[in-house]
Amino acid sequence: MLSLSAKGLARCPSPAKLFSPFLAVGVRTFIPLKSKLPTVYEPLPKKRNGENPVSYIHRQLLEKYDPTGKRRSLIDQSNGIRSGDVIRVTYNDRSNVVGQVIAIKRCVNSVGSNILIRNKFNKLGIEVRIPLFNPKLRNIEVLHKPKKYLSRRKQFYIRNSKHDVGDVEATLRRESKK
Amino acid sequence: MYSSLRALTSGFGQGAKRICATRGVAQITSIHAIPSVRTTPATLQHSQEVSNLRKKLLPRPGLLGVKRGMITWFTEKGEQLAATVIEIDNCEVVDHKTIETHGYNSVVLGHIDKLKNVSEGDLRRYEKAGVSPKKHTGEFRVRDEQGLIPTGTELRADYFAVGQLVDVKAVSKGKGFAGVMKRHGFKGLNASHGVSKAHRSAGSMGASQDPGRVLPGKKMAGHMGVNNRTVFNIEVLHADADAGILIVKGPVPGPNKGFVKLRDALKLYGKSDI
Repeated sequence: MLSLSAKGLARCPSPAKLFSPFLAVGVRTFIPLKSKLPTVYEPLPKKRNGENPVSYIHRQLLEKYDPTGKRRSLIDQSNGIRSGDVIRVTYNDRSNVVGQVIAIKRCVNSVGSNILIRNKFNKLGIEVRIPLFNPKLRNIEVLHKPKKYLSRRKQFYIRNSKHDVGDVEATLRRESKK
Repeated sequence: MYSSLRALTSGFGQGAKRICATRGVAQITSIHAIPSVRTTPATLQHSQEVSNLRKKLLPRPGLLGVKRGMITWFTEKGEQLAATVIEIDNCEVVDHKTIETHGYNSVVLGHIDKLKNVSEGDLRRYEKAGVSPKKHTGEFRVRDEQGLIPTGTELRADYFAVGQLVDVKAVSKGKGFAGVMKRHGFKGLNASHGVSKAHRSAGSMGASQDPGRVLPGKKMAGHMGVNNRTVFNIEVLHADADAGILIVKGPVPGPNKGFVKLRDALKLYGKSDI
């Protein structure tokens, strides 16, 4: 009997705990480890302070292609251009294209945002999609903002309808004469 | 020949004598008279050793990564490309397999640190390698023992040079049970001309009574996607080692957050020993 009780004592954490009120219900036991626990090595430091890699690279690309933030503000939802405005896009080789904005595609976490402009040459409708952050672009300027806008943000419906654009440059010249 | 036979048998009558003459002509040397030669044993094509020689392999292992999404990329000329962002998240060498132990040489890599719920066996494995426990591991065969990078080495995104070609392997997106038009690109049946409720079906399954059955391997509707897919020879556009970001040109199989395996372009840099 004596040896049994001695064994029981040895298995318990400490004699002081044995008489504690928490152990009054039953005697707590534990299984001793057969071998040493393995060492766990510390992980390598987190990259980018845990930032999402796509938003991280997007930030870098914006700094590269739009350091002043001018292009970003151009397609800002509240203060930027909207469908109906007339813009002129100048390329690095000084060639340019003028047209009326009929749609703006805004990309999330990507520099793929672009503006669709429409014009008419010899009564033939021409549409050009302008990649906003393309390094080939030199400048984008707003030539005209109408007093009254048509409905919808994407105005594909104006094609070949009574709302369709005319020769945009000629219209602007006429209006400036007035 | 025939005339000489005739000359030989001319002294005798017809019938049995001709048989005697042909027997004399058809004599062969006994096989026991030829001294035997020991031939070299044929190479066993199915053995591991010969298979290793045959296999087209790379001198160094690849990388493990996570697909993070697609972005627009502009080249210096102003060309617009679609590109995929791949995250290289603490990719480290965990283990080796050698010819002595496994019959072939390979490097086991692990990536993405795992801090909870690691089994004790895994803990011992990573302890041996000297790296933190990893969420996902992958294996890359290498040509010889020189390609066995020491365990515990971190492989960073600049492991691949900008402009080089790589292969990307991943599990494609699941499409569920798909019809033949989607799964195999069949044309389907007519939209009109009396076709009834079968506009997207496959049409004929084969010949009639002659085989009397559908031949095995017939392309039919069924489960599509969730296959291992490799895109070959895609260009590396950007490699940022400190940020752990690798950008490759074009699409990569699988969903965002899916695991991908990258390696040097096998068709370009791979070589077999035969």
